[in-house]
Amino acid sequence: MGGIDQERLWVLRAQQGDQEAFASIVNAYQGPVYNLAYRMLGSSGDAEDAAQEVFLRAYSHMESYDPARKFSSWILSIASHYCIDRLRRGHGRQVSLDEFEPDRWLPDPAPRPEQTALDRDREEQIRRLLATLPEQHRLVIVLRYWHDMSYEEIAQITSTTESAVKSRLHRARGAMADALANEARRQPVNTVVERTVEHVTSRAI
Amino acid sequence: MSHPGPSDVANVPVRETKRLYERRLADPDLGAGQPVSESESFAELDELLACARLAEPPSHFAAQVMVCVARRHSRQRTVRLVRRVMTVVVLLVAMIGGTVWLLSAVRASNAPIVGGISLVFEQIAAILQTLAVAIGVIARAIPGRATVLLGVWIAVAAGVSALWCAAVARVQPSRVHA
Repeated sequence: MGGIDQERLWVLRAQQGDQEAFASIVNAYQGPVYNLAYRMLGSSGDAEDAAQEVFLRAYSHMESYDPARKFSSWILSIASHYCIDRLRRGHGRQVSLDEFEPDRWLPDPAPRPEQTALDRDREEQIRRLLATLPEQHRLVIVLRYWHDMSYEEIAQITSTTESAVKSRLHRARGAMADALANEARRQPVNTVVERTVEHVTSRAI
Repeated sequence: MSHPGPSDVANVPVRETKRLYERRLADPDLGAGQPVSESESFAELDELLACARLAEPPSHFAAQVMVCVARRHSRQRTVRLVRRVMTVVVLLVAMIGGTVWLLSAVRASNAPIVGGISLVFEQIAAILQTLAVAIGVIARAIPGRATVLLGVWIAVAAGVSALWCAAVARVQPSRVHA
């Protein structure tokens, strides 16, 4: 049986109250829902709470799910609205680097220490860039880049139009690109010193 | 040339660090002062985001969610039961209270309807008494063995009905209402 057919069967049985079918749905969607919550809220603890609440809401409102709509869009819509509400209520908090858990990411088949350090720096940089965006812009970036959603799907999830999605995406990318350029100009001095010393020494030889 | 290690960098004086930093900003070979087009900066951003990975929840997450779901389901069932019981209690209180109040009001007004209602209740009681007497006569008229057989048949029918209801209840999954 195809993946989509299997999913439809789970949803149908979950709508009839089958908790085992709902458990299958949780297993299938825990990754995307958690990732969206993490990217929006910036903290693994908050993301776990939010993702759990999203699934509870989905369970309570399974009967309101319209089978004509993609289930992934429906559940990510619940997650999006919940995360935005939470951010607006001020429940999102700054996360310190100490909370960053590199083990939380999908495992690299051939991990190397320097690659792990690079990955960690990159993820921290991405987190900082996302934190500069307003909630709605952050959401479209996450849905576009992490969940590979089309403009139409994003518009459906965010309850807006495709042109609004494109506009937000463009502005979000511009803001992040500016922040990235500013970070590059403000590189840590010891890194600058290393590169400069190397460059000056090599020219002197 | 050996690459300067961390200890070498850390030992560079602050004034020297500042001088080197200013030189880096001024030296075009080090990439300073280069104008960056929007497409280039977007490309750089896309390259960064392309390397981003999906965050994974903790291993116990799904199990944790299902525990909360089971708890919520149980709570919802309790709330529904309490709601139904409260509804029945309220209805009974309203009906009994309303009836008592109405009767007392009518009796106080000494209206002729009071006599009429009493007569109706007396008639109903008489009919029920007659019915009970008739059932007793019929039961005594049936021979002893047939009564026993009838009793056994009724018991078997009741048992089969109970088993059927239990089987149907087991097949149907628990229903949840939002």
